[in-house]
Amino acid sequence: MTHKRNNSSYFSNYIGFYTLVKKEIVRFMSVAAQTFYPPIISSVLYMFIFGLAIGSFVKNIDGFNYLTFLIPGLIMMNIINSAYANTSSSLFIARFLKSIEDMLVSPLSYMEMVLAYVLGGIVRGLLVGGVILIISFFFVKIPFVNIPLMLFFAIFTSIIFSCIGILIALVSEKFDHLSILTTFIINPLTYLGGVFYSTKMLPPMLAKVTYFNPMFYMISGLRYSMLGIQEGNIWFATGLVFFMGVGLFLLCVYLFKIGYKIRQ
Amino acid sequence: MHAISIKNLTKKYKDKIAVDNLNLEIKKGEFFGLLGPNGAGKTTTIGILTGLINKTEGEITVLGHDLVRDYRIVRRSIGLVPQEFNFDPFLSIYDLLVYQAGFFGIPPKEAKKKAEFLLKDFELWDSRKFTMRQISGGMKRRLLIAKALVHDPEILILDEPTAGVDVELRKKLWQLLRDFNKQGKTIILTTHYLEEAEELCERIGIIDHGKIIEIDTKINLMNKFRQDEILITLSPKCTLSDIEQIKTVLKEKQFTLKQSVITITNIDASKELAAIVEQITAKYIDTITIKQRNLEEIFLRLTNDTQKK
Repeated sequence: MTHKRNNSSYFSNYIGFYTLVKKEIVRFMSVAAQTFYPPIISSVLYMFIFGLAIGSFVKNIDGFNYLTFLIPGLIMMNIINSAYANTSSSLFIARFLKSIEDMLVSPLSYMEMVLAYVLGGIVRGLLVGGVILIISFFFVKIPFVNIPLMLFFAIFTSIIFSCIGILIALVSEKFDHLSILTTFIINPLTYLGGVFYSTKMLPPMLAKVTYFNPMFYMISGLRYSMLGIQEGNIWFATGLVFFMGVGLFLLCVYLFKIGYKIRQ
Repeated sequence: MHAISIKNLTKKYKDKIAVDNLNLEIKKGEFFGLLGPNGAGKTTTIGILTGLINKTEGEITVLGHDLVRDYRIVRRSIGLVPQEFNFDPFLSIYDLLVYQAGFFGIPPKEAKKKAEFLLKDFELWDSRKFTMRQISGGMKRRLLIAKALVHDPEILILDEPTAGVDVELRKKLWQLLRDFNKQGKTIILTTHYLEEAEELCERIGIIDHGKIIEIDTKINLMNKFRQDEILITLSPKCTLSDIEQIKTVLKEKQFTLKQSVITITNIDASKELAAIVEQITAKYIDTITIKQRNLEEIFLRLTNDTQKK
């Protein structure tokens, strides 16, 4: 039996990497009732309540009705939550039940391990976001101003929150710790980052505070690429999301390499 | 080339030294036993070898490859049977083996064949759709060994593989390990069952407080620490003056006399029995019983000695 034996490179165990990515995807799809359907159902409810029912009382924003304005925000909110939930729960369970040892004793490189977890998060994020987008076609017409930029924001935001999920899974000692970040940081920042409103609707002081919220740039970046509504500097948003994604990914690889909380 | 070469290995935790400047060489194809009391450093040493624990200092090569620099090659050569069960709640035991093979770079088709072969070989095929939680303790132990063999490793490391396993299954697993060793594979076994080490291992290292305190072949080890007990039952014809004479003969030895049974302790029966029988003269002797010290007693003596130190 002969298998590839390239030892030095960061990425050479292609079959091992493919196996881990597949395992991550099969994992969340096998519990789709917990991982896949809830965000879709809640998004449809948001579309109905805020878009169709309450939305008719909100005046147009930059030429778009409220429901159209809402869709990119809903998609981004669910990408963020899905990517984070995927890596944080998968890695924490693997640590907690020690099944991570099966991966650690294998010839997977640390880069391959982290990339596979992140890809699992990206796939779940994009799948949930994609389905919400498809459902939205029944209600609104989206002009898609810049599709590559839309994919960039969707993918890089998934990377950022997949990596944050990995970091939280590493530092958490109890299952409760995973939801602490969601409840106290991710959800408030996402809601206050402009999912449901434009900064133009806020008093000037609060609008300025919003510019310090990184989620604002992810949401407004996706909204710009889909609708052409510009809030904040798009180049700054692109750079911020790119460097956050790359930085957090490298941090995760480093922590895996030194075995932080996964090897004694 | 050695299968495993460990030089000056040290593992320090905040307030404890788990492995203390340990040196060990294991030959290719050897069946090696690593014995020691709880907390001696066995599992830590194995954890370092398999990538589960970071070493603090020292050098390790596996089949000539550096443990850290060539970690991919090293991990391909080792199969680990861990002491504790781990669980993946999402996978059946069949999928568990297929994924494990995949991690080691085995293509999906080949991985499925390998998983089927091993599950059948370990009599787990009928339970292939169950998860790890749904199978019995003995089946879990077999599955852990199957999982360690899925990538056909050169070295198999087993950390207490038969803990909590019934006698019948233990014997089956022993046979399996013997067969594996006959194929030229190296086996390293840690165990609490000294009978297991005595039965299987060619060479044994005794570890305590993170150090190897004795290492030799099983036979040499037992000879080196050979301190038999000879029980001589005297003939009813023996008079009191005969007994006094026998006491004089044995004055250099450690012995007790109770109801016409002389118990001589701390003696190498293979070397000294003939001379004793000659001195006492055979006519006074009814029966002779030799009790040989087993590995368990040697182990206890050695580890007690280090505790005293």
